Amino acid sequence: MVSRSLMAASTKPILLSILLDGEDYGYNIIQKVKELSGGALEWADGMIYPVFQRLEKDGLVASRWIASPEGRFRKYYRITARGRAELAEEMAQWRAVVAAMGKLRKPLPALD
Amino acid sequence: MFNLERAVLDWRRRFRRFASYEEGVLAELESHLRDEFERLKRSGSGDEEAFAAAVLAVGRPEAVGAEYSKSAERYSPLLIVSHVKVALRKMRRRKGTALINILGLSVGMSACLLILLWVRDELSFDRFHPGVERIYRLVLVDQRADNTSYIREIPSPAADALVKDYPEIETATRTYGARFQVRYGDKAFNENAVVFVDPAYFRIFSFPAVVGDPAAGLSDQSSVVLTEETALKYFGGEDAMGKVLNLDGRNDYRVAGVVRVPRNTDFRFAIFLPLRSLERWGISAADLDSNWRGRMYRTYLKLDPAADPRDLERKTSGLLRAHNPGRDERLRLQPLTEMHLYAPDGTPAGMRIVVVLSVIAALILVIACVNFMNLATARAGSRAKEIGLRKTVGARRSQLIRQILAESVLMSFLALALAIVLISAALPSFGRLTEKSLSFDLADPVAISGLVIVALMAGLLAGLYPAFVLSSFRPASVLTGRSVSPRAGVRLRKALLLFQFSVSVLLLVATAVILSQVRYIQNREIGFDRENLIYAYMMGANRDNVELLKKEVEGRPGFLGASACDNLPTQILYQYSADWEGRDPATEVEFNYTICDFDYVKTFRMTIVAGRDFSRDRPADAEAFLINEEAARRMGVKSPLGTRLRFMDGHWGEIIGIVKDFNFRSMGTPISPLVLTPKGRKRYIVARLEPGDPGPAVRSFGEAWARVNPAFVFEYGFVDQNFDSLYRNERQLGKIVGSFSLLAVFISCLGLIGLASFTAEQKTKEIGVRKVLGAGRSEIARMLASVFLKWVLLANLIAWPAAAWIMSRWLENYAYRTRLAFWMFALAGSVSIAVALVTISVHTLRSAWANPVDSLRAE
Repeated sequence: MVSRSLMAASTKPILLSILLDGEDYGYNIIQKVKELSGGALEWADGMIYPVFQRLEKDGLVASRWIASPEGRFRKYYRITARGRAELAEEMAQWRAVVAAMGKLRKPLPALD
Repeated sequence: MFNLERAVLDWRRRFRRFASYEEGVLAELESHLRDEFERLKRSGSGDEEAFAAAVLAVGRPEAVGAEYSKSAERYSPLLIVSHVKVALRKMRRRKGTALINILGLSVGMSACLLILLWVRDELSFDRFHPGVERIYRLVLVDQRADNTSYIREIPSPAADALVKDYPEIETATRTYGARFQVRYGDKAFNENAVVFVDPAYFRIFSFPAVVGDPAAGLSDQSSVVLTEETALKYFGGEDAMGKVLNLDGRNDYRVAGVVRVPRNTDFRFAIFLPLRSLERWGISAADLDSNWRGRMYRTYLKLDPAADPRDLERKTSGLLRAHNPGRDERLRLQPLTEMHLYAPDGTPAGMRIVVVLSVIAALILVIACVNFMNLATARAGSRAKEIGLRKTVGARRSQLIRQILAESVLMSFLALALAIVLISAALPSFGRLTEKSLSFDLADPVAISGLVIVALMAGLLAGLYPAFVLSSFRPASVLTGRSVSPRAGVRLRKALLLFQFSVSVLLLVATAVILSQVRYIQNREIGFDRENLIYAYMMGANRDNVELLKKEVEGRPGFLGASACDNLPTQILYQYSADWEGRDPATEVEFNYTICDFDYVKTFRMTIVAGRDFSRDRPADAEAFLINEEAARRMGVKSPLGTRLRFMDGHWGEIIGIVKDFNFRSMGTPISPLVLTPKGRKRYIVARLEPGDPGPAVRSFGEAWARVNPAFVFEYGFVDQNFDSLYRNERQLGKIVGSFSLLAVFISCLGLIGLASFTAEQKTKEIGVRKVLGAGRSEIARMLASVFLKWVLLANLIAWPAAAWIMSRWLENYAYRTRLAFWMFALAGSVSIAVALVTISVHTLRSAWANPVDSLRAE
């Protein structure tokens, strides 16, 4: 399990990264997150929508409603140029953190 | 049976209960819910089981809602729109309250803004001259053992002497006011605002030239400079330059320039003549250059930028004493910027009124804001649930405060819009009230920013307290049904009500005192009978006909008598020194004087307290004098009667009588020593009419004039009106304070209406129960009325001592003043109580008459 604060910090880059593969809607994105993390990232599904709202207000993602073949409307998100720049920035930070962790004198204690 | 659609609706409702969401949010969540539901179904779950799991997966509404409100927390402009929308919705729901709020605020704002317009205009007088901070008026300070007088008119040679001896004085000008009949071709005009000035006048004051060079023009003794209006009046559209005007049929002047004189200056002259050309009117060069005793010329200086006016005052303190040994006279430099609002001695005469009115403006605005605060907190109970709910779904206190402030600011801007309409409508009558032509220009950036600032301040002031009270509700207590006690803030509301009515009563008392002072000074025994006295001013050559005209008038029906004199009593301004037999050399008395014929005392109905009046039977009286009681006291001789007096360095003559003191100036100043002498030119004819309609006598006077002076325009006036104009300021102040105090009462009562209807609503049940138990209508009405009357009465008790203190200090400004009387306070008290009573009774009667069954069933 990942702590709340770490989850809060990582949500943004994770969501933006997933959108690099292309336009997608919330439900699908959540499934991808669950797959990626092997269940280590446990969110209440509904919680990602406010995050998307914030990302959209900040201009990092854009959205549109698309009807499915069976006639259900889903809101699709895609990453904007600004979102890509922001993601690159965030990933650089994460890499720096991970690199620092790897250089620690004692290796991190392994989980059993 | 599980019904998916119904389940989804229920789920949506649960979400909506906790927060309001932006467009599409719920649809997106729902789409997620359905996707998850379908996935679980595919993996073999039952309907109900799958839906419950899907709901769980989406998350608890509180948690998700809170997450959304977090994302909304960053204040976006969109949120203002939503605040405004909510505020408008609220106002639609509570139309009455909104109306009272907006009406009260807008009336308060327009009153406040009107006063500010007036204040701005008063403060703008003569500020437009470049280098205005270096321009000064010279005031002669005449120091006596018993009093000090400050005189605007100073000896003529002072200006030149100062410029010559003190290099820090850039330049100086004298001015001497006069009136003439001006003739151009066959047109004749009586001009009262004529001034003789030195050429430097137009270098000190900046009245931009329309044509010609005014300063250069005035160096020529036969040139004249006109204002634009005057030129237009004389010549229509024709070019004014070089046209010749004839003054009083005696001297010609050629137009050498036209200047533009703005409205906000105290130098509102129509015609400017070269001061040196006074020699053409019989004033000798010697008089202009070396007479240090007469005080006739107003004098203005412009200093060097580096000059220190206080230092200059010290250095020049010996100048007048050197020329007039034995007198203690010095010069004071009064800044031009103070001339409009301060008296020559520096007392803030007009400034006091500016300050008083600014305070009244602020008070009225505060009273209007108080209405808003009172109503908002009174209605707190009905908003408690909404606020509890908002808080539960995560609204922060700061958000609520913003929402409530947005409501009050919106209200205040709506009020501002209405206020602008009100101001435009009220400006003409306000102009009449203040005798000013004020304009209100929405394109003026100062006015616009002023308006926005006033509206913003009013909105914040009015909303701040309710915002903090309302946002402090604890959701747990309001949502569990324990409604917020309507008593929340009761004490504060009462205190605010008390404040409103105290201020209103204070203003009412002030109005009563000011108006009664105006009446007092207007009706006071002034030492002669000023009613039914008509006068006409003899222009130029016409002056020689004054005796003829007098004879012509005296015989006519409706005329009781006539006199020729040089000044009307309101125009006795100039002072001269005198000498008399037995004078202690240390005693110097400056006398005012008036030149009059033998019928003056009779015509004005003055009283001779000792000695006798001038008499036609004694030709020697032509050389004699009358003096007033004050002069007799000041001269310091045992019996002034029979004493020989020499006035204005002229002839020696006997004092034959003493006239009872009469007021010839405003009641603000004590009566000064006065000499009446028959020797000299006489420019006025004053006639006493029979009481009653003056119409026929005025026509008859005009006919007499036309027979004697067919070439001159007949203009007349009444002495009592001249006296009234002395009290113009006081009358104006009374009218302004009066109208605005009525407004204050009106606004306070608007607030009272709101509170009364609120209280009546609150007490519906109590009233019902009381009526069922047998209480009569009158008892109910009394009960409701007493709630508020108590506070109005208390407001009176607070306001009275304050008003008494303030107004007695105001009255101290007058040498002759009325006394504070109980009726002034009683009147203010009864007006406030009566108006409050009428206001409340409308509501109380409605509740009192209501059928108790209805009110009890309301639960």
